Amino acid sequence: MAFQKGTPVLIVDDYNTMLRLIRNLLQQIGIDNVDDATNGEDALAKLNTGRYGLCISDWNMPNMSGLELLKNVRANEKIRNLPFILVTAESKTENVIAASKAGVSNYIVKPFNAETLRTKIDKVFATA
Amino acid sequence: MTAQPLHLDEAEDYLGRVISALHTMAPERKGPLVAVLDFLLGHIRRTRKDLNSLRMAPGEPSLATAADELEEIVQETATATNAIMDAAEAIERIAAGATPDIRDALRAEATKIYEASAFQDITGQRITKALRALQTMEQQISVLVQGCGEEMLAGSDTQSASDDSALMNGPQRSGHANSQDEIDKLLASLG
Repeated sequence: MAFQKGTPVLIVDDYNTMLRLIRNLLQQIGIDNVDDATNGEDALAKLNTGRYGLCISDWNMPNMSGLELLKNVRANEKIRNLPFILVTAESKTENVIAASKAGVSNYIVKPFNAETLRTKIDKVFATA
Repeated sequence: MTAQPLHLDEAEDYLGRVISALHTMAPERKGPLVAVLDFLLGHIRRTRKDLNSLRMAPGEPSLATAADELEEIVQETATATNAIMDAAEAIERIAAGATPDIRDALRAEATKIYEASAFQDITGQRITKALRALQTMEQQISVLVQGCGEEMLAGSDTQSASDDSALMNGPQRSGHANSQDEIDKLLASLG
């Protein structure tokens, strides 16, 4: 199943600059229906509405990390199958293993480019 | 009864007196004790010297100042990155009215600008890590200095800058600096 361009996407990052960057890169690859959240709690509340078809989240955030957000999503019956991509500078093996165990759909290491973003999103939806 | 903890200078003083007293004892009894106490005394003196070398001279930037400067770097690069992205978005708006070839070429360049802007997030995270390490060092040195007694270290042999190098502080943090207007007024008032 390919990603439908109008599908609502939620991007989560505590750095406004990074939110803006990801939003712009998504636009470059034709994804315009983008909403954002600056912390895990706000993101979880938005995701609980069930209106999003994809979540792209940073890992390193205060209070609720991206990994915790992912675990919360996977523990919630209503949104547990939501495609979830972590975009992070955390590139250690143990991080990737932890994310995989928590049920991450894909994992993008910063810095990244628009093509990487497109490839990972396509891959997530090809296996969905 | 609980013994009061000794400051480093008091311990050094006591040890010196104990060693002097030991010299009145028979050589075969005092030898091992004097050796151990001499070792301890030397250790205390080396510790004092090491701590003095960790302290900044008056006018020199402190660890706290260095941490503030690093925080400022994070904020300034974020501001610069947003300005760069403003420009890239403006390029895209202009591109929308151009011919397809030019539009595509401009959008491709704007994409490269967005991708390169990710440096701010990466450098921000690295600087924040360095910042935390500095703050931890500052706390640990503060604990050591308290343990040795502030008064003892106050008369330390750190050097103070007495020439014009004391005026070289680098870029000032926002809120701590004069604006160009304030500097112009100040210069005018000085004639």
